[in-house]
Amino acid sequence: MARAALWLFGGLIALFLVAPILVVMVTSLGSSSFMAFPPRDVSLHWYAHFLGSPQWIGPTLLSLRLAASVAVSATLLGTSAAIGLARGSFRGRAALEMFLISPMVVPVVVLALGLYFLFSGAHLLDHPLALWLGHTLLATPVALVLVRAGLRSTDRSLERAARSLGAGFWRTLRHVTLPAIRESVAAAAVFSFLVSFDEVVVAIFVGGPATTTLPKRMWESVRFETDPTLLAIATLLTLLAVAVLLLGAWLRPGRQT
Amino acid sequence: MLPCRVKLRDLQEPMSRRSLSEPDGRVAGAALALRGLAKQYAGASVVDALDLDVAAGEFLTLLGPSGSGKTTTLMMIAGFTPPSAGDVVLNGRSVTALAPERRNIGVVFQNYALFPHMTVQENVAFPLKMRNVAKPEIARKVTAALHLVQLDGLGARLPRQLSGGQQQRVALARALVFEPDLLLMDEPLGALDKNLRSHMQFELRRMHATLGVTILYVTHDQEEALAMSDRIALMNGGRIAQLGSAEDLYERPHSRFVAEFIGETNVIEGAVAEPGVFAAGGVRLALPDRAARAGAALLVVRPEKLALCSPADAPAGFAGTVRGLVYVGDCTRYRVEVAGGLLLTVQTPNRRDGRRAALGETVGIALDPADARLLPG
Ligand SMILES: Nc1ncnc2c1ncn2[C@@H]1O[C@H](COP(=O)(O)OP(=O)(O)OP(=O)(O)O)[C@@H](O)[C@H]1O
Ligand SMILES: [Mg+2]
Repeated sequence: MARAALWLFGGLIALFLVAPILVVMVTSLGSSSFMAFPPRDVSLHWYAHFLGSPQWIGPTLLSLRLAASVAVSATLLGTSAAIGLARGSFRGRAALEMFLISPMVVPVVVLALGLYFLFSGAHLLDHPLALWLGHTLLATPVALVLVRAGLRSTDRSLERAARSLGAGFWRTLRHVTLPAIRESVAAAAVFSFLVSFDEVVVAIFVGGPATTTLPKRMWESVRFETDPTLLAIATLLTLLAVAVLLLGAWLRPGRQT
Repeated sequence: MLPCRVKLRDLQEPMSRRSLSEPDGRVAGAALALRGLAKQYAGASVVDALDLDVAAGEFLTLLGPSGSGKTTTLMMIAGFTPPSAGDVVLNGRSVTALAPERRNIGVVFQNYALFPHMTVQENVAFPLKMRNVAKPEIARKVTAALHLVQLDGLGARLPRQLSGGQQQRVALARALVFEPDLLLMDEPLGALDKNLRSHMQFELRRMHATLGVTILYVTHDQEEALAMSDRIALMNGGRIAQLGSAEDLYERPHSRFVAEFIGETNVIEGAVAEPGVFAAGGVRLALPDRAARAGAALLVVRPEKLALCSPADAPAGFAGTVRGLVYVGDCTRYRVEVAGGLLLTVQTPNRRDGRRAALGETVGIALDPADARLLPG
C-alpha cells in the first residue's frame, strides 16, 4: 500500500518533470503556424522549415563549430591544469585550484558583463573569437573538475612504475597517465561541448548580428516572433542531449570487462 | 617455530650466475651505498641518517615494524621521494640528483602496478621500448623474461585476467627485463596467500641466484626475511637497529628490540652484581664471560635453548612450576614460573626420549650459559 503510494508519488513527479518536454515534442509535429496541443495533424513541416531556413541553419552551424572548438580548448586547458594540480608540488596549490574553478561559482551575468567590457575595449565584440574565449572560460573549470576527479582515483604507483622503467615525465603522461584517465578526458570534452552549445548569457552580451548562436537565435525568436520552428529545434536539442548522455554512460569506466 | 624451519636457500642446487641476455658468468648487480640518508616530514624524522652498504649481487632485506621507514627509504633510493639529506650511491656514482627514469633501478610494488590497459607482453616490453631497443630484440627478451618467471604463453592476456601470483610474476619480469643494476621490492608477496608466498620466496631466491642482480627487499615478515636474505637490516624508528645475517640477528642480538622482534625470547631483567654472575630475584647464573661490566643488565635466551630437567640439576633459581603448556606439533612450549614470580618459556622438541612435564609439576630448567646473551640494561 505504502509502496503503491510511493510509486504514484514518484510517477507524478516524473510526469511533472517530463511533461513540458513531451508537450513541446508533440506540438512540434503539427504543421499550422499557430502552436496547438494536441496538433491537428502530424507532419515534419517545421523540421523541414528549420533545415531549409538560412536564419536558423547559420546559427546552428556557428554553435556546432563553436562548441567543438570549445570542447578542444577547454579539455586541453582543463586537463593540463588538473595534471599540474594533481602531480605538482608547489606553494599555493590549493589557492590556485580555487581560483581556476571560480568561474563555476561566479554568476554568469557578472562574467558576461566583464567580458563585454573587456572585448569592447579590444574591439572583439560580435567576433567569433570573443565567443570562443568566453565559452572556454566557462567550460575549462568543468573539464578541470572532471579530470581532477579522474586523476584522484588513479593509482600513483602506476606512474612511479613507469618512471622506474625508464619513461620520463612526458612519456609517462602519454603511455600511462592519459590512458588511465581517458574516460574522464572524454567526459570533459563532452561536457565542455554542452556548456558552449547551451550557453546564452555570454552569447547575448558579446555576440551580435554577425555572431548569433543557436540559443541566442532561439531567445530572439521567443521575444520577437512566435515561430513553431522553435519547437522542432527544442525537440532536436533534447534528443541531442539524451544522445550525449547515453554516449557518456557508454564511455563510463568499468563498462568493458 | 622459527628454529624448526628449513632455510630455503639450503635447498637449492648451486646454479651458475647469468644475466637475461648474456649466458656468461657476469654478475649483473651493482653495489648500493646509502650515506647519511635522511627524510623529515614536517620536522619529524622518518628516516634518520641511514648508512648502509649493499654488495653487488647481494640479497639484503630491510625488516622492521610498521612505520619504521622502510618504504620511505626505498622511495628515496628509487628517486620518488627527495631525501632531506644524504646520498644514494650506485656503483660508486651518486644518483641522488637523477630522475627516477635515469637510475636504472627496477621496482616491484606491493600492488604490482601493472599497466591495466596493456597486455602482459606490452607491460614487460615497456622498459625496453623506453630504451629504444630494436623490435626483434624486444620480442626475444620479453619471451626470455616470461620464461624466467614461468609465464610462457600468457603474453596476450591483460593483467586483470591473471591471478595474484601471476600478476606478481609479470611485475617481476617487467622489473628484471631491462637488467637493472638494482631491484627494489616493497613487500612484494604481501597480498599472496601463505602457500603461494612460500613458493614465490623460493622462486625469488632462484632468480636471484640465476641473475646475480642486487636486491633490496622490504618486508615486515621476519620469517620471510630470515628465509630469503643474505643479510638483514632490522629497522626501528628510522634507524638500523642491527645489520647482519639471519643467524647474527637471531643468535647474537645487540639490543632488546632486536631480540624481541626476531623470534621469541626470554628477557630477564637483572644486574651483574659480582664479576661473572648475573642475578635477578632468586635467579643466579654464572656467565662464561667473566669480564661482563657490573650494573643493570638483561639476560636474553631463546626458548629452544632451554630444556626441562630435574629441579636438582638446574642452576640456582631455575626451578619452578609449570603454569602453562602448548603442544604445537613438532615441539611443546612450557610456561614455567621460577623464583621471584618470573615466567620463562621453554620449548622442547617432541621426541620419544624427550623429557615431558605436566601442568603444575615442579621442574628444573637446564641452561648452558653460552646460549644466553647478556645485554646492557
Ligand atoms: N608523505 C608523508 N608525509 C608525512 N609522513 C609520512 C609520509 N610518508 C610516510 N610518512 C611517515 O613516515 C613513517 C614511515 O613510513 P614508511 O611508509 O616508510 O613506513 P614502513 O616502514 O614502510 O611501514 P609499513 O611496514 O607499514 O609499510 C610513518 O610514520 C609515516 O606516517
Ligand atoms: Mg611500507
